[in-house]
Amino acid sequence: MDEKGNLIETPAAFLEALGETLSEKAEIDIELADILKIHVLKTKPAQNAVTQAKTAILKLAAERAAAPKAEIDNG
Amino acid sequence: MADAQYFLQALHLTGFRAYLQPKTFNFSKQRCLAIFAPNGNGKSSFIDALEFLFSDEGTLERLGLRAINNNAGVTALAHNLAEGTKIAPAVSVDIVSGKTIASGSRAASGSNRPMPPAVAAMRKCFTVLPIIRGHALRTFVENHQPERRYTDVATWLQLGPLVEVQKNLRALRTQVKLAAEDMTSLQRVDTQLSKETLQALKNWDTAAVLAHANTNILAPLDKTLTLAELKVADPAYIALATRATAEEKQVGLAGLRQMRNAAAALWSTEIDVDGETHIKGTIVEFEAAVMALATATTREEEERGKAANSVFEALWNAAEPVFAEGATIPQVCPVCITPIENTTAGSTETIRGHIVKHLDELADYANAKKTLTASQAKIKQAHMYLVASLPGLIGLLADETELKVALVAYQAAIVAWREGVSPSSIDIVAAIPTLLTELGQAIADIEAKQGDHTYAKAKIKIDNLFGLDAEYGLALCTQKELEVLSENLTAQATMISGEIRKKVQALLNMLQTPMNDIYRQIQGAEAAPIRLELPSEDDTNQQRLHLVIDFAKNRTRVQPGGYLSDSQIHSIALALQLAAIKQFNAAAPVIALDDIVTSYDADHRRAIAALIATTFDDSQIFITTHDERFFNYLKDQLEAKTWQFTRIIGLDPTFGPRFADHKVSDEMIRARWENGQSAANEMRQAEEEWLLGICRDFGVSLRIRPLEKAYSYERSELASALAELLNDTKLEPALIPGVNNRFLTSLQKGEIENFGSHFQDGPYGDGSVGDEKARWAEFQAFKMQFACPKCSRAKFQRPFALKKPVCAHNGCEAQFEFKQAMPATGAA
Repeated sequence: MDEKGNLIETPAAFLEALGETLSEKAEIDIELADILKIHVLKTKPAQNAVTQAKTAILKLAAERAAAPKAEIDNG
Repeated sequence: MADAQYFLQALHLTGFRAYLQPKTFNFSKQRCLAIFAPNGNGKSSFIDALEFLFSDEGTLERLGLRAINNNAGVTALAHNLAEGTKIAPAVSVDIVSGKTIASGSRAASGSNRPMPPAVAAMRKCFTVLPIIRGHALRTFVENHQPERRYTDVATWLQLGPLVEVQKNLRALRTQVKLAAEDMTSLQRVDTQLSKETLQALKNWDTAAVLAHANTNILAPLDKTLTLAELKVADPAYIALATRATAEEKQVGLAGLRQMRNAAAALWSTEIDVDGETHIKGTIVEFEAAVMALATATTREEEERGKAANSVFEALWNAAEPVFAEGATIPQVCPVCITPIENTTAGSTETIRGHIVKHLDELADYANAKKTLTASQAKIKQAHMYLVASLPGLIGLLADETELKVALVAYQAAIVAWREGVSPSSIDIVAAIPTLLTELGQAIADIEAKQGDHTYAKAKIKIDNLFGLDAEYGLALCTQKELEVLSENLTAQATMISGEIRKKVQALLNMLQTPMNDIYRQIQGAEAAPIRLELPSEDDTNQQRLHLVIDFAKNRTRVQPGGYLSDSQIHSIALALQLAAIKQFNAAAPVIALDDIVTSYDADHRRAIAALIATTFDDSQIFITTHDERFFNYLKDQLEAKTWQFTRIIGLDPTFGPRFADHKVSDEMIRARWENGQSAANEMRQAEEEWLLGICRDFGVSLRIRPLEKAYSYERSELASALAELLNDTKLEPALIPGVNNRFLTSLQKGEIENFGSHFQDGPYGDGSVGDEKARWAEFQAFKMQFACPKCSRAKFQRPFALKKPVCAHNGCEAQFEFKQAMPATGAA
């Protein structure tokens, strides 16, 4: 697609492509990128999209914290 | 092959805004429309219809939302009389694309106002909303905060969702960062720790918690029991758990106390206040009850035997008064009529003694019987208590102990007991005092040693601390994960925002060139170019758009607001929107311009008219204006084959806007006179319109008009040009009989009077209606000379090679010559 073609793509198409680009980056946090794709990178996001995305991120943090891993020093 | 472009072919308004009765605008022959009307006559309702038709929500942005006691919002879409006159408010449209015509109608009232499919199909072609309103341009000028401008431009370019994404990302970053910094979870653990340690520890500190566990929980039980770490694998915890388990299997302090109570319930001694020892307990009470029952039974049996002789109780009772002291003693037995002296008793005295003796024996039996009944009740109760109390001690005693074995046997005998001698309790009664003594000693030893501490309780406390440790660890870990996620979110949000910025900047760059082209067409070739720039990459607030210019060598990259005029800034907004529409709405090249020239002077209005005629000649343009001069410029510069012009001459509240042909008609002039009004302005307008038309037809040469020359002299320019052409071609209009030919004279001189208006340069008569009528008659008579000598039509053209105009009617093309002038009677 030429430059003009890229420019006149719809916001929805642009955001979808942006989400895919995000996921394809090697160093990216995929699960976080998925949350952004689901809740934020939308042309018509939910009214409480930010709250939903934040809840999903907090849940992800809790899951990662609860996952078996090397013990941490609480002190 | 590219898809055919969309155009509006007709627009129908019914009960919508100012239009109560149906009004149709037909664009099938001339696709563009310009409407002139003074303010408040309903011209913007036409643009409103377009905005409403193509709006997602079926409303108008400027109406806002309906509120309490506010009839704005969708209610204001309908004409205020529509409901009362049973007119269904609606906007209908015919849309043509190639050879296909699609129609649709959108209701302008009620909650359901869906966009018709035909409209939706055209709406998809609008990357940029093609409606430009003058008041919105002013808003752009007045609210030139970079943030607002960014939002406006992004909205024009349909980048609203992207702006929303950036806004949501910014909010999300803030909220996640706050969550990562939130210490509530850890504070909750601290609160619980404080409660668990009886305020000894306020904040979680693993070393302090360990010390507390070892010193306050384990040491009272065993000083050698020391936790090295708060983990279930710690040897001390394993030992604690083992001991707690063993403690559960053993009889603890509470168990000992319970056992002592159970034993005492069976058999115990009690010393009263006098120092006397009493034995009590269910065994004792049962055995006593058994003995009491036996005694009562024997006694009852004895008394019953004695009372057997007294079975004739009634007889003795009846005999007692017969033989009572002082009574008349019978001589014979009242029963068998045996003479008293012949009876066994032999005398009255003896009989009297028998009666007393038998009555006493009956009373003793009654007492014995009562005692037996009480003893029987007592034994039942004592038996029941004993049966109930035995399992208590049996259940608490360890298996296979002698006492337990004896108790189980005793229990069996007791349960089976119904009467007679009580089962033997000798062994039990002998063992219980010993048991009580041992239990008392054990209880005293435990109480002296560990007080209320037990391994089980200690384990519970340690387990609670382990739980808090786990909770604290999880909270800490979650917080760290959240910090990492917050950082990752910042990185991803920055990347997303950067991509959006790049897209917006690229769009802006594509717009910059056509925008500046348009801007220069309005403001002149020397106008400094405008640049659209986003903030620099490292700027935390990317939602801003800078409009900058290089005003001077020492004033580069400055904001236009501080240097440009209102008109120039206005032009920037207009140029930017027009450029965006032209750039992105190629599939539906429609533009609606609502009162866009209010801040411009005459030169710039003409420039905008020229801009529309040249740059947007391939578009379908709808213009409303209250500026008559701008309207005339449009008529002058725009092609008649694609444009239609109309004016609203009044707003009838019970009908809607009343339209008239854009040219001033003889009827309009006469109507004013009939109403006692001056028609001077209309006449001037009519003359100007005619001059404009005839000059265009004749192809006159107009001099480049000096900029400083006011527009009020424009008619004279036209008149001069026409006069010059007539002189050059030896065409001389005839004098008009009956009048003084002032119009012709003034025309020949290149002068036109402006009677009766504020544009007036010199007086023309006294400005009376009579003068106006004379002037009008003169003009009408003069105008009638400009007709084809062959076919009498009044449309001419002058091809470039010809000196004189020719009739524009196909098949005629007769060279123009003046006819003989007619008498000026038109206004009589």
